[in-house]
Amino acid sequence: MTTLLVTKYVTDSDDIEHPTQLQVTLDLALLKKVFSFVHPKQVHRLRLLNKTFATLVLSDDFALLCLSNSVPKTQPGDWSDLFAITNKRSSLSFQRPNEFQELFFQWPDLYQRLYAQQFAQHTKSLGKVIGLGRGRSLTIPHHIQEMTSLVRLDLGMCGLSGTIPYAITGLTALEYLDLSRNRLEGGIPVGLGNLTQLKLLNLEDNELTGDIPADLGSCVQLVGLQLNDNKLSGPIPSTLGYLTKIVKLYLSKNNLSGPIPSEFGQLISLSELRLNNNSLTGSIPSEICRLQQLRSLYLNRNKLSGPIPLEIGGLVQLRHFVVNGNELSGPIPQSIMSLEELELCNLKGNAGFTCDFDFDFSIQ
Amino acid sequence: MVKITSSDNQEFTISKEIANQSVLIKNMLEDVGESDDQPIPLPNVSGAILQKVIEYATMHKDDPPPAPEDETKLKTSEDIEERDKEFMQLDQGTMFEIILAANYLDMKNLLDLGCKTVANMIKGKSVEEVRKLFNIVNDFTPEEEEQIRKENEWCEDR
Repeated sequence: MTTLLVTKYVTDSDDIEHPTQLQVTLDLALLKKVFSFVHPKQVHRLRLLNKTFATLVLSDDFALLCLSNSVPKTQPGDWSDLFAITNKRSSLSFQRPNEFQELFFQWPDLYQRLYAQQFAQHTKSLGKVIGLGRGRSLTIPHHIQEMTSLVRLDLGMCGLSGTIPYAITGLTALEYLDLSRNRLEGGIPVGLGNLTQLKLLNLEDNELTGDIPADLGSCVQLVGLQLNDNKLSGPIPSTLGYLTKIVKLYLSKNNLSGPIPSEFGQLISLSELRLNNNSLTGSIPSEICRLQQLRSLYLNRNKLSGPIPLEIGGLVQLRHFVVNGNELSGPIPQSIMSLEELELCNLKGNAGFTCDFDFDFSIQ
Repeated sequence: MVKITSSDNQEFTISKEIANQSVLIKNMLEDVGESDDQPIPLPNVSGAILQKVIEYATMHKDDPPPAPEDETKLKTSEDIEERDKEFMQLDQGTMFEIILAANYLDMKNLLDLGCKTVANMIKGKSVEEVRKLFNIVNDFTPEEEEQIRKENEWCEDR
């Protein structure tokens, strides 16, 4: 058994010339206590001391002791570590994670689990661990499922790779989920539909494949859904038509196929619809012309055919109408003239339009 | 007053409030009752160390009773009172002996203080330095060592 050992020289008053050596050792229990006061990061480095120590550091009770000596516990309803700085500026965009939130992504499974279970169960926001991997690739620990109070998970641009763990679908308090601009691959987990409080789901600019799960239609609080710049394929689920609060819907730059669901006509809050750079077929559903809040409609670079809907004049807020690079044809509806806000209208590269009125094609 | 004797048969007479800081002595006193005049033997602690322990207990005899466990308060090793820091300015051997004594006598605060002090000595030191400090022998094979280095990649830079 390993002990900490020091040699003490005791000088006997009768024999000053010859101090006797006295070895003082601390047994494993005391060694455990001593090292529990050392920072968890250094403690891991000290696993190299010897075998006993390497094992000790990865034992449950040591890990718990060590963490409780250095990790602040969050309390119910406590946003402290996250918004301490932001409150002053009343802006939520400027967050700084505490050190242990960063370590959560790096240290061994045991420490991830204990941290999530014992120290972060009240944590409401986890985020912006930017550059923390310093080139090494990090994955999203599945123990994140223990952090059931999480409202914000803000891991955009954190150098994450691997897949989106299914565990995330258990975080039912989440309102804000941003995993954008990483190297995540694999599918969007089915079950994200459980996250019914979700207001923003941003997975843009990853390498996600597979279908868009139909159950996303259950996330009826969604205001923003950004799945653009991935490798998603298959049809756009018509269930997205239930997202009546959605303002931004970006599905552009994927490999999506099939038609634009006519159910999109129910998205009464929608302001920006980007479906460009996919392989969508069929015609532009006339139902979307009911969307009175719609300001920009990007359908360019798909395989859409048929005419521009006659009802296009219903899009009273429309500023950007971009449909170039499709197979659209037919007469340009005269109602397009009534769109007072229209700034950009790109009809280039289609199968051929006819126009029997004086339309200013310069707004392109 | 309470009498205690060390392993080398030195006798100390201390007040009850000082004696009671050791849970071990406190329990013994409760067991034998007030009337007993016999000194309490403490065969695991030398007179020199007992002297130091009594010094510590005397210094802390007027401390307010510990607050109920505050979950949010950390027990970091930074958190040491100045007078305790001075008290712990000892050679490493004595420091260890005090830890052993505090453990044996069941004196939580002194034990924590000792452990934190040693932890502070470890802080910032390299593996090799810590090995030297405590006479720890590296018993890894090169392969095992390499394996841990690999697992530790995440914590090597700072």
